[in-house]
Amino acid sequence: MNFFNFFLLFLLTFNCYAQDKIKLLDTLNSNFFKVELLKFYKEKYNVFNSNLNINTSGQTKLSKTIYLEYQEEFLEKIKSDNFISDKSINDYAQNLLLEILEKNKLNKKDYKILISKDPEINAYNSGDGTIVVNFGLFTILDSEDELVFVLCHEVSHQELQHVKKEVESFVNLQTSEEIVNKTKEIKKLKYNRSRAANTFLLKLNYKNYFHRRKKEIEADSLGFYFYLKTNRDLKKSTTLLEKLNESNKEKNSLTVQDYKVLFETGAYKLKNKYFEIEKSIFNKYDYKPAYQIDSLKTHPDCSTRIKKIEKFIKNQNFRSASSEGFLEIKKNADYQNLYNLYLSGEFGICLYETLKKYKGSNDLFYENLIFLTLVDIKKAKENQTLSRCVPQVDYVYNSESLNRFITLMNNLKSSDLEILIQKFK
Amino acid sequence: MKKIVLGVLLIFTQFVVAQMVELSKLSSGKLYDSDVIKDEKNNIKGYFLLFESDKIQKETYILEYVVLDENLTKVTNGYIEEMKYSSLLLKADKITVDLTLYNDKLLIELNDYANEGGKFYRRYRTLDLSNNKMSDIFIFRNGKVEIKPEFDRKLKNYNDNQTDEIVGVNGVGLIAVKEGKDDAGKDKYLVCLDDNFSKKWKTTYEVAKNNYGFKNLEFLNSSNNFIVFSNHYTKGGYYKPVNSIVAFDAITGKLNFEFLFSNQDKYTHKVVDSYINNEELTLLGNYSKKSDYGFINDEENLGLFKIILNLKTGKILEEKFLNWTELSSKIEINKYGEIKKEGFVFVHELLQLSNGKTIAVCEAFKGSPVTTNNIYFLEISEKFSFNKFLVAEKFRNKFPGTSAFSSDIKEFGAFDYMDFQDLDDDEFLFYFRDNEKKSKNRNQNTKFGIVSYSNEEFNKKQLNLKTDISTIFAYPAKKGYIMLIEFFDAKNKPSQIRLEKVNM
Repeated sequence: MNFFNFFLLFLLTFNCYAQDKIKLLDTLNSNFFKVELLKFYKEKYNVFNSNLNINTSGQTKLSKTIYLEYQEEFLEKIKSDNFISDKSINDYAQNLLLEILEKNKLNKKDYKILISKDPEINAYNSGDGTIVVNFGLFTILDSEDELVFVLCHEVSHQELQHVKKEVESFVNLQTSEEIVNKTKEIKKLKYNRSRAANTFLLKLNYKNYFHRRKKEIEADSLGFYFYLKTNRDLKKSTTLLEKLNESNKEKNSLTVQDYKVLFETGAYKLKNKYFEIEKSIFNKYDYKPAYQIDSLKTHPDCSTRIKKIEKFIKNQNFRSASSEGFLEIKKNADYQNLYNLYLSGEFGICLYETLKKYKGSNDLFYENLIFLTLVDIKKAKENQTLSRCVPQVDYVYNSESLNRFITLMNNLKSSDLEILIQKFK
Repeated sequence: MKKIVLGVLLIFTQFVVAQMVELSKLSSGKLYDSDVIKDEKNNIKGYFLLFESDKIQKETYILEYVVLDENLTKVTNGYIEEMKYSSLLLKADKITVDLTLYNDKLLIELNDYANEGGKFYRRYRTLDLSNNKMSDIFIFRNGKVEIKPEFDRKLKNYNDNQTDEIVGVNGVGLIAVKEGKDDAGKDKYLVCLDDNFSKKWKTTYEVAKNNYGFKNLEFLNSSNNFIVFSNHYTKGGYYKPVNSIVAFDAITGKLNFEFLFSNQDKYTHKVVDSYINNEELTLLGNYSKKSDYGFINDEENLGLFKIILNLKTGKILEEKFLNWTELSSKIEINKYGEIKKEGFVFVHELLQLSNGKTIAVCEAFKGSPVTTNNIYFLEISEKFSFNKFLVAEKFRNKFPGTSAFSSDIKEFGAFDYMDFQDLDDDEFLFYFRDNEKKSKNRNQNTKFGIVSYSNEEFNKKQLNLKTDISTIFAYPAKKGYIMLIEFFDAKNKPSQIRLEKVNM
């Protein structure tokens, strides 16, 4: 942890001490943690790579390429401090995972759990026994049981060896006679070559995505079985999926009036033109990529998954219970998640989400975070690098509220930002 | 916002496509051409890209077009069938696009393009922005619009396989310009077309050769009530030193007047920009000593002019001239617009402000060898006299062994001045390549220059695009923004495109 981050952590913790105490995760041992983690995974990958044993040499080479590329990417994540080093949260997560493994009599030594700083609501299994939970997931969880269900789902992927099987089937497909012959055949075509190649690729991808969706249902099914053994509230499996289904929808928004309340003072007024979004000349956004994404989603819809799980919930229920450890993480999850956004340099989104939380709350932690992000946004603006830390206006994917925020950030002058910085200092 | 999923790590998505290199190569498109979509104030509102997708038979291809909005979000795409000429003598390398935004539509001019032969076989399509519907190909030939014409592309049929010019006129529609005599040797005329290509009106602009020769019109400006063309006479296949302005009533097509620039026996005029305000047309340009073919004489360039005409009658309401010598107390410039040690003045822009003032953007250059030098930003008073200036000193670009007229230097993009953005309320941003004045190797000193005009003041800013890990290219983008395209040195790091608001 560098001095600057330590200072920020101190600042945020200290200033919020007067109100209900907010304790951010400890990052003091991050360097040691990183070194140890790198060592662990390098050794693990060395053993794994030396044991790769696939039928033909061509296939082995391709498998190795896939694994090596993934491993390199994972090591890069460790190097760039992507994983939380705080001992208490890591111990908590590891114990929760052990509970699942023990109750299901699974081999504990194959598994490791890591918490990523990533604010995206997600978790994944990397195929080598590592389960990664993004910190963002904690912001939507209301019960430890929901987290346990997520872990059960990821453990199932591991137990079913989905990653390994997927690599194998992919390698087999790549080196299959079907692909080789079809490629030769298409190459010989004088006309309509691209259409033939696209059609064939599409067919292969449909097949591949179909299998991956099937794997998700399998993981839900086995995951639910593992979850059953933990004696936790079965209904939490479906409440989690419902929340995941809703997690893409933006909650809360910021209006022009909100900004006036948040930013204006007796002497300082925001100019109305700062909020003016240039009108697009386009009336309809109907871009269709060559591959129809809806048909190629790797995961089945949450509603389908809920229906499948609900069949097993009848007459089996336990009361939901969350440990002290979970409640402690959950208590500060929103703060920590915003702080993670700040640390990752996503100053725009960090400020936008913090302002939404701050609106009406006047929470000191948020106030300090607003100050910090404004300082960095001003710096970026002066260096003409604002677009590196504030997203772009997007009429398709962004909400009107987010586009308004982006427009405002772009239009504020350095002098305006300085006034706002002083207000939140 | 991005779709969020929970589950097994998606490490294979990229491989599914990336590993099938061979197949992917066969299916991916090749970029033919792209163009920006600009509004009437010269601000970028989107981008149009054209890719070759497939060859379906001899000389016939399926092309994919992709439209992006000003924020680079994909708006629409589609596939069109186009011919691309190929023979032993001439083979088109690609198909080019040139866009005009008018009445919620894009007029798309398509041309075959050969590296050795330039553009040929012009034809058009329109893209209706209300429903993103792409029209069939259409051409205006022998005085008639032909939709989905059958092309018989032999060089002997060259003229029958391409269109006369069609202009997209905001507030009016499409205006087809009958450029030559028709089959019966009849008049030259304009035809105004509605959305279904039906004739709204037709007006004859030339019955026979007059004393100056034949008219050769080029669209200049329009409003809901008037359409204005500049005209350069030709005789015996050569341009003549006679230029005029021809104005029509946009509703009826009636020819309102032809205005011949004064003293054409002594001077040649070039309109750089024009403005229509109700019934007044303002022409802003520069003039030189008369040249034989009626093009501005780079080495005897005398100054700037402002002429205001009544659009109904053609009557001169105001005519003012500003000679370069008026600047000589501030800039070392002679009466022919030659700046000491820098070269002659090329006028890129003449922008009219709401208070009657004019902004002139000029770049010093030499035609032989082609050399571009500093850029001068001038503020000209309402009375058309010189007020103040800002000089943007920049790297001297010299292309040894070359020789060209200013118009060719402009066409081939060899000037450093790039473009301007109109920010409203008499505020502008001007962009140019701004390599260091004293640098020996311009590639290692990539700079991007911006000059703003705001509150009647010029200000200059220079962006350093050099980084230790990447190469950055900058271009004007949507109103008030620049586009930065960054190519990273690291092999696996994909290039980034960002839009950055300009802070002045």
